[in-house]
Amino acid sequence: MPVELICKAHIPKVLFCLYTTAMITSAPRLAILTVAALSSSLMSSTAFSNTFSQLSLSASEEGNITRSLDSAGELNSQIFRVEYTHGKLVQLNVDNSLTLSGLVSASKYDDFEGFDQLRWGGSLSYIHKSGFGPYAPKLGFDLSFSHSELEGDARDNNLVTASFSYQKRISAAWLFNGGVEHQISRADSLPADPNTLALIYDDPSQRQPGEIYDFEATTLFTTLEYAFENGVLLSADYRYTDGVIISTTKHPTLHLYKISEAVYSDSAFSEGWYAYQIEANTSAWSLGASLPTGTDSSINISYSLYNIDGSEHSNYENDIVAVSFVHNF
Amino acid sequence: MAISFSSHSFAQTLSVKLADSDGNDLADVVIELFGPENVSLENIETNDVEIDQVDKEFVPGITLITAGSRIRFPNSDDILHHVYSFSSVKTFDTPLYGMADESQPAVSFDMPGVVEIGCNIHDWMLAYIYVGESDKMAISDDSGVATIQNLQAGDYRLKVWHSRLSADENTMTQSITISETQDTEVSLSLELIRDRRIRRAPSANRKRYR
Repeated sequence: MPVELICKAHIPKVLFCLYTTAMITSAPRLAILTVAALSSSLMSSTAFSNTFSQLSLSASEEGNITRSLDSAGELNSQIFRVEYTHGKLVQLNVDNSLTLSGLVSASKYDDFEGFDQLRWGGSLSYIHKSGFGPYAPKLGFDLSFSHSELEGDARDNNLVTASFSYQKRISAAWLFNGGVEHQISRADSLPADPNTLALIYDDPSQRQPGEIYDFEATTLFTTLEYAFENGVLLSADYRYTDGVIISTTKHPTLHLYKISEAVYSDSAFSEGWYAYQIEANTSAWSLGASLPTGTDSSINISYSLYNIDGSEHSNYENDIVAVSFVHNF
Repeated sequence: MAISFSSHSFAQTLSVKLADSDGNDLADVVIELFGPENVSLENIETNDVEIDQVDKEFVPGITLITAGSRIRFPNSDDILHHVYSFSSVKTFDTPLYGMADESQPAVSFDMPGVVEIGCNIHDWMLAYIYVGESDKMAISDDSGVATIQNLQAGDYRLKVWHSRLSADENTMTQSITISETQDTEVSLSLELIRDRRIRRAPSANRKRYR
């Protein structure tokens, strides 16, 4: 689809026209270059910058890691994750700041080693504060890049995310945050998959690409936080995504193949499983509680529910319960 | 900390023992005495002090000065801070400045009252400046005791302020008599509103540096 049509097709995406135009051909590479160039100039400006590190340890239970349509195919897993972020904040002037950070993350899936993954990336955040004091609204722009490496190549991906956000503290207790986010994911080119070709009786006219992680998605998000006097923080989060879902099935059909944007043998599972991508709108609801364990650390508990409305009335559900410990160094 | 600038040689002492409604010792309560001989504002000695910024907090959290005093805000962190106040007693903001920047002029506080200061970069940073209009003031220590010495015997008005005191302008007053023959000890129980400050700790939602 031409860039101009993408921009006109969805109003939220208009905000990202310029960004999309630049990214559409080589998004991950351009994002890396952008972050690298800015990081070089930022890292050299050591005066009045603040270096920080953050360690996050989390354990979660995901109810439907296959994103299966029916309960028979739903598989749940415990996931353990270690994530380390290191970065630098540069206060440009009274109103504006830049934060550059890099992260590495390792995830371990119980029973499903094919999902075990390493992720690394970087992000650049610009924050503009409109006025003095804690109640002045903040406008933010974030540009981030990450690479995920899993067993096999089908689920490896490079992800670029750009977001605009608006944050307003309503009181010492209440904080509102909302915005729009656009993602571009690119997968490495994959060789032809004989298993998926067999599904369509090797009819080249019906052949779908195999790169299931080639997609774009736009998300509107909003978060409301409430802090108690003792520092316990409750949060409610809603995200609506116009994008895709990447699902897995052991029982592929020609119909499923035809409504898919991409299909490939799923390297995260044993032989006979197929990963496919279809267009979908996702509503995600999250409730969380954060208990401070000091000025620099907290324990966090959250529950997230995903309702995914895919093409041709294919509807998915997923939920995630997570507990994490976050510490700033 | 106590400030008393009486030029007379009086020897009586007032000790005020402060506690919250649960009986816990209460630090950082300001007491101020008025009468029977008040010194006019222009005749009260001023005191120039500093409020430092250490590990993204103001130190000390409460500062007691007399009207006309000046305060410097050095920055001991290796990052930038931006001190401001919206308080009607004194509205000001410093430029953005870093460690060892000695060019920042001291800020003068000419009107009595309470000034709440913050840092525009680190929203949780908060401190109070109590600008007194009397020459007889003190702040309670960790044991909840505030002491003013060299008092003349007589009837006084005792003003008590705490940032969380449940009263108009966080202030209460009461009459008190200083004895001619012995030191005066007073115990006060204060009802406090709960502390509601902007949270500093990170959360899973906000992993960005704060």
